[in-house]
Amino acid sequence: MLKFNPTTPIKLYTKETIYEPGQGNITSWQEIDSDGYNTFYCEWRGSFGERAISAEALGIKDYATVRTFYNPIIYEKLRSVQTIIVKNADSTAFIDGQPNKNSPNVYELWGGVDNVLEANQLIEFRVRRYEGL
Amino acid sequence: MALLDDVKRRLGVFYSDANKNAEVQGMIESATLYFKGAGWDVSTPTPLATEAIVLYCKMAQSTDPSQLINHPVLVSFIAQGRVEV
Repeated sequence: MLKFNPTTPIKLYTKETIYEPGQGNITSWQEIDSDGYNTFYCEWRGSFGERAISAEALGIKDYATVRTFYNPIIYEKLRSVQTIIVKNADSTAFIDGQPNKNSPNVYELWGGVDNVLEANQLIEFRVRRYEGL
Repeated sequence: MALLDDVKRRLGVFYSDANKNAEVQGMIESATLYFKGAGWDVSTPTPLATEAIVLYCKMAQSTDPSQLINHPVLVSFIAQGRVEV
């Protein structure tokens, strides 16, 4: 069984669109809340050396691999809507309701999300610095 | 209910799902019987007992039978918690 040490707090925000009669579609970033919890702990592994340089060739200035506990709400959101991952649960990650592109703690999903061994115990995904591209 | 919540959080289950709750509750009941068999009544859990139940549940989650051992920390918990006879 995969062993990991979840010590980094993260918050996740999803881009949600709702229809308001008379106003049209309104899009906003909503914090993921699961059973009253909105700060989740993960293992955050940064990127260094050759792999970081290879990623930089693709325009990825900073990426990390995140492992955390399986949660059906988080798993579903990561798979279906744009999601922002805020490292260290940084409370200044959003400015005027928008992700702060200059914050070193704001990341977005890069690639897919893996439900490790489909065991519904752990999920793993990669994140890259959010640059609003 | 409180014990179920405590154990769920320690296992990283931060959501409510009837099947998952039943699974964890089943592990807690197994742990309670396991410790009872070892001479330690954990029906009114102390922090140490909660810790022992969490450790038992973490081990029970593993799908690798070779990892299911008499864990030394678990044995230590039992040695500290059991009633002297």
